[in-house]
Amino acid sequence: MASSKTYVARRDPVLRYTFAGFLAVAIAAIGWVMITVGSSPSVKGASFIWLPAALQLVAGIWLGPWLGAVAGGLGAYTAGIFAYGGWGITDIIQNPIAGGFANAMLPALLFRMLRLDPTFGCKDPYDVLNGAVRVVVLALAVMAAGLVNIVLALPSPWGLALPLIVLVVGVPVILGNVGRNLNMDHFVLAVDIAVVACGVSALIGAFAAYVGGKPIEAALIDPGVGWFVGDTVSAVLGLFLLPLYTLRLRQAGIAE
Amino acid sequence: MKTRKRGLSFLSPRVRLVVVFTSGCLYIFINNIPGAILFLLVGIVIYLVGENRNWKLVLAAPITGAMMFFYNVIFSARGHGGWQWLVFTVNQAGFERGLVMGTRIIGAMLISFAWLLSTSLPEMYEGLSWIKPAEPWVLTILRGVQIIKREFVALTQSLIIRGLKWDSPIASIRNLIPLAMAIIPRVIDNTQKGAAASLSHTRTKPEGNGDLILNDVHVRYSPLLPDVLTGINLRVDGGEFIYLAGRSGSGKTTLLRVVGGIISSIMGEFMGSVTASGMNTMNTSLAKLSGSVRYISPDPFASFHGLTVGQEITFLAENEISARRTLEIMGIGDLWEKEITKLSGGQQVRLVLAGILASTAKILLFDSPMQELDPQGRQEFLSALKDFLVQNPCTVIIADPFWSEIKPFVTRVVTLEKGTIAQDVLPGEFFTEEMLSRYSLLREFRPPMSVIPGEIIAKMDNVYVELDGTAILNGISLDLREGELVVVMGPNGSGKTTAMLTLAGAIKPIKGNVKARGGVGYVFQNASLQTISMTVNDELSFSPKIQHWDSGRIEAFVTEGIDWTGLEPLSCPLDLHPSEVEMLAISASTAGIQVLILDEPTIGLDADGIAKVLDLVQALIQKGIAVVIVTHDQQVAKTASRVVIINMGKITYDGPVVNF
Repeated sequence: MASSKTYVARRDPVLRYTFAGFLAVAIAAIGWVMITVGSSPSVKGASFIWLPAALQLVAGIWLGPWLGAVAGGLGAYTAGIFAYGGWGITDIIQNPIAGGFANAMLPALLFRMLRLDPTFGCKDPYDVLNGAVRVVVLALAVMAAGLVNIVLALPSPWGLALPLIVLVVGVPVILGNVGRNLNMDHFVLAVDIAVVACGVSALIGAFAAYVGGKPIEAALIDPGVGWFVGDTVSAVLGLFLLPLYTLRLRQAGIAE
Repeated sequence: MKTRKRGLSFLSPRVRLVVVFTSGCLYIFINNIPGAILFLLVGIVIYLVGENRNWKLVLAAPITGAMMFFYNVIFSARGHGGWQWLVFTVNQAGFERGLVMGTRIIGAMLISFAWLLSTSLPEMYEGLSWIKPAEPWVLTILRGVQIIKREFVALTQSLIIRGLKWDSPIASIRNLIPLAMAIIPRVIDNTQKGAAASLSHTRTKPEGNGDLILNDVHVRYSPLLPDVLTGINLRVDGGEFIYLAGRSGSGKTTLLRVVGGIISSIMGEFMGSVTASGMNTMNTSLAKLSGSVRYISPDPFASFHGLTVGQEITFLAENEISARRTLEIMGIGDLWEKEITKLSGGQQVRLVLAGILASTAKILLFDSPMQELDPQGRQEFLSALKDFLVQNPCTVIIADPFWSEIKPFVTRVVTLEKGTIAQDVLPGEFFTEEMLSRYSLLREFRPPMSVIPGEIIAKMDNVYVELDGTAILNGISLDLREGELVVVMGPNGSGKTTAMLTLAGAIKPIKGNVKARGGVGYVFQNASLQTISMTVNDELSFSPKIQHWDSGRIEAFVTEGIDWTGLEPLSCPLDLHPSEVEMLAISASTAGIQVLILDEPTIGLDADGIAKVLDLVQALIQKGIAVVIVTHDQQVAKTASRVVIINMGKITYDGPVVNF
């Protein structure tokens, strides 16, 4: 008779599939609300407050690229169908493809490639939220400083001076002591990954609008820009969920 | 009487799906005004002739259409001439494009909404299940919809009751953040239950003769948490009927889970060995084990895998005749078509038990099966179990506080204390006053709580409630006075919980008025559905923070709650024993209230726990707070001054307990 002398846990694979299915439902439910209240006025389904981006990001990182893409993509597709009958080709591009592959699969692949620790070594998950918000504020401040040159019209390379000053001053002032409570290398890379994933997702969204008949230049602005900003804000919330629940999901045998 | 189907309901679920899919895919190819208007008219007709209409939902269509029109007009391309409005160019091309896009999207949305409103989840399953490789995913996801919907509804109700406002779109979006955060632990918890349900609904042939051998079994739920079972050695012969006794938190549920293979296929980890009906649980998949060993969880809703009563029982029974017979035995034979979500708590328990009776398992593991049943339900279950055991002799291990009703069946009693087996005795040695008291199964007599009621502080006036188109309450009128203890009783599915959720403001009546002076606290029947935070501390301070208490008052409230519950401030509610979650929910619900409603508070608590809750109730009513207890427990009912009986959504008795 087989008897174990140490603790063993042999999870059934159905557990992870079920989690993917249930997460897809949660993404669909929240996404339904978000599409209904926050869609771009000219491209239905392109939500500017896409809170499910948080769940799509964590789905990929917890469940792996493929299962994460299934959960993220299926959830987004269902949200579109329920919110506005989005079954068609543009909806498939902007919901399951953007949501599944860019918002869920891409961060999962990059996290694995760079061997990032999803808990960021923090003791309090709120340090991540605090840090992520500060990084985004810093990025916006640098971008705003760059845009000021439209008014000032300083010749190159002086036009770069203002963003550079904001960056040099902003790092100690805005980021403060975030690094004391977090593994900063992993954390900054994770923020970069979230931003890149949301950027790719926004490009796919813009392409969907182009397929739907919108000129590509217009599509890059609307829904492109709003999509990028909205998804990034939500993905930051996803980064906060990672340290909050990753250990619990690993113990449950669900997260990798 | 058969009702004539209208609109998309007239079509079979598969054809319905084809119609909505085709229109959803092809509408973007409609690029002229007459085509778009024709498509819009089709959408309007399909929506209007449908059986169900939801005007709030459909409002999204014209708003979307108008926005599409407006933005396409003002963002017209410059090259097409026209005139300037602010910084925009408005021209004929933009106008036409806006009209086409706005009109056709309204048409597509109306057809989609008509499909959504005419198609239930079981019909969606029917529409999609022909894609065989996707069938398990479809079922899992649709079950997920039912489960997540329950969680969303419970969490939303909990947030409303605890003071979070949902009175504006911005507030609703803001509230989605705590909701989204709280939903993840729910998804984890329900994933475990859902996976267990899915695997235990795989029809496999039973093996062995119901023998059971546990050899030095240790169990823990996480390396960070203490062991729950430590060194269990137990040998059970096939056909024995074992009563498992122990105080709350002694390890009864964990022992049943490890025997049933839930640990470690779904949760936790263990060392030692468990052999159930000849199969080593470590080397046997849960799907295979479930054919011989069935674990019945105390959360009936999460134990289901089917979407309707008929589908659920068909998964478990050998054939439809057997399935229908077991439903008849459990008194729910007329509910075959009913969706699982529309069953009351008691009806759900009856369905779970019907599933057991339909199975051919060799070992049955019952975890508090009778707690949510009314007295008639308990009697029916035990009678059915008796017949079942005659036809299908098997091993039974049961943990349930209704020991006196189980006693005639019991051949052996095993008791647990702090995760180890303390007693392994014959029934005659166990069912004595001394032993029952030792295991907190004997409750002390409590006289009625006597407080002179004051002024009316909450009132329901001729209240009618409908849920999902079904009338649940049919004219409920009820007054509550300061310092009054009222017990609400009635059969399973009579509308007790709905009435109390309406009183608490979580459900809006379609007719009638509900008024309450001050806050109304509510503790759900399943308290784990209402916890929101990740620490005991945060859970206790949640309502006071929403109510903008000052920090000193919040700290005092939290300290008082921690003292009363005896919990660690930083422990996570998800890691607590159900009885501890119940205590936490009760304590957290008392912030700033004038009325406290406790829905089946005795479930999951041993005699000591129940006494502790009743002590708190006594203290609250002395402070002038009105307390309502919804219960099937007649001993609890006797402590009240007034009893209200609800049946078929109406109050059939409202008066003193002595007369009742």
